[in-house]
Amino acid sequence: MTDSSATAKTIYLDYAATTPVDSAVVKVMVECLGEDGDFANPSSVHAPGVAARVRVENAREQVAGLLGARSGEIIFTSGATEADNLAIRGAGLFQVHKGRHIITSKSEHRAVLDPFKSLEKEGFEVTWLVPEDHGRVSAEQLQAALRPDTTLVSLMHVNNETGLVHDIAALGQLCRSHGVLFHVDAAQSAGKLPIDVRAMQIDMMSFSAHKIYGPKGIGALFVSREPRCNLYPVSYGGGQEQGLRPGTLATHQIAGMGLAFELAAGRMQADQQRLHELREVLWSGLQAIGGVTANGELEYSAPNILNVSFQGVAGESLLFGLDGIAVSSGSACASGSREPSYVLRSLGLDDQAAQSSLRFSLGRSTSRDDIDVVVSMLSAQVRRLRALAPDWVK
Amino acid sequence: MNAPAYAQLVRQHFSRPVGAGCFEPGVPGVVQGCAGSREQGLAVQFQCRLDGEKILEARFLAWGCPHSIAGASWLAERLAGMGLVEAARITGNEVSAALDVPADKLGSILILEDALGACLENARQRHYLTE
Repeated sequence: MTDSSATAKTIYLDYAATTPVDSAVVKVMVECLGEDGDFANPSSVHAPGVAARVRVENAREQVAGLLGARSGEIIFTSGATEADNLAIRGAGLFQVHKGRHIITSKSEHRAVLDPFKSLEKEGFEVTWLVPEDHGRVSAEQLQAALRPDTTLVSLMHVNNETGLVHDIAALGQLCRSHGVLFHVDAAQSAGKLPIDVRAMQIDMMSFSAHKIYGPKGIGALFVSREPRCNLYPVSYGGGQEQGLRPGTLATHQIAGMGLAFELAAGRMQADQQRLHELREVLWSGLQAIGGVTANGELEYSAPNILNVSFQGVAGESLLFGLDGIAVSSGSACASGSREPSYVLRSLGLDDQAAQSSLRFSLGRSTSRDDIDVVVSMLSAQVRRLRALAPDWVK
Repeated sequence: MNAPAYAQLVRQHFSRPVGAGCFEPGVPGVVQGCAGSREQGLAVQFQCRLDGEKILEARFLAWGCPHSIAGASWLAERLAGMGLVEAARITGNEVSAALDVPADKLGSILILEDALGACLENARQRHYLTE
């Protein structure tokens, strides 16, 4: 460990948590803020308002373009968490006359788990699937859980901790064939993996901008119009966003999100190929340390995420010893607690293995040199901590 | 989240621990004690090399959080040159106060205290400590 003051530059490998805003995105956002820019209320009918509205609708097209959707199917929200809440509570409550059985997985993000828990408290019956297919929910597993009164299934595209990828097309086809609405949290996959909401038969899909070099505080929910997906709003007010998400539209955030999505679409394939290669270098380097285990089989995971457990070291000490490297631990970071990750526990890891895990998530600025430095530092820290440990816990 | 609030002394002892390791087998005057487990979040072994009732040097092995490793190092530094009777008066409270250990880590510090206690009990059994 070095003192933080002596650290020249932090190597950031936490892109799954958030990304920096692309400079072109910053520029377009600034254009929507000042007196000379498109700052007006997009709902106003005067010329400045219309100019702001054009920005918003252009962004809607850009977001839809990444998904194979129509612009009218994009509802802007404050982020993926709000989009998840709108989809799950909005669709669940709208269909309550059809049934009260809804399905999700124990390895979903809290933004999905908590709305499901809220509906459960309100009388819904929730099936909490434990992923069985290499850490993923298979179509066969979902099929077995579907019932005549099932109205909604929500499963994420890419798991935020392990990077494991659900076969969304197979799951979507199954839901559609049973007349069950299918919601997908795509916060980790948008702009990183190809998405076609029609081919994948998705009814609702949640997004955030800040995971793909857009600003924080803005996201979207895709709501299918064909077939028609109906849902109630979760808040009420001015009627914006087809009445589903009222409130003055944040033109600068929306314009930034739109450009971020458009930029991601243009470079997705090349980015992912490069990150896949870098992840292979990282994994190869970590394996050379010995006593490391990948949490989730790499062939089933997104190319930018690697989650690894280090045997014989306590996770907090390993993380503490990595000053100058920004990664996430296997503890629940949202609360700042040291509780072992429920996602890793759902993969069958015990508390110690979960707590000794790190998530590396690579991004546009990650270089081969970064990977080499990280492997070198980790190797030194793991060896040091293992040498410190008594034999009976190694 | 790489850097939760750790006191400077924790950083120092974690990055450059005092007395890390163990004595070679056969070194005379060595007593030792262990406490904890992986399940408890800390496993620690203390060894003291004695000259009569005086601790010449202390060494430790520890698996646990930075506060635990730093605490073991702080203790090892403190114990060197100390009499066994004086060492027996050291409490976990002293360790936690010195290192500004947060409340949720106090259980680990008590395990350190147990390991030191086991080490001193070993000294008593081997008649280094007569009190």
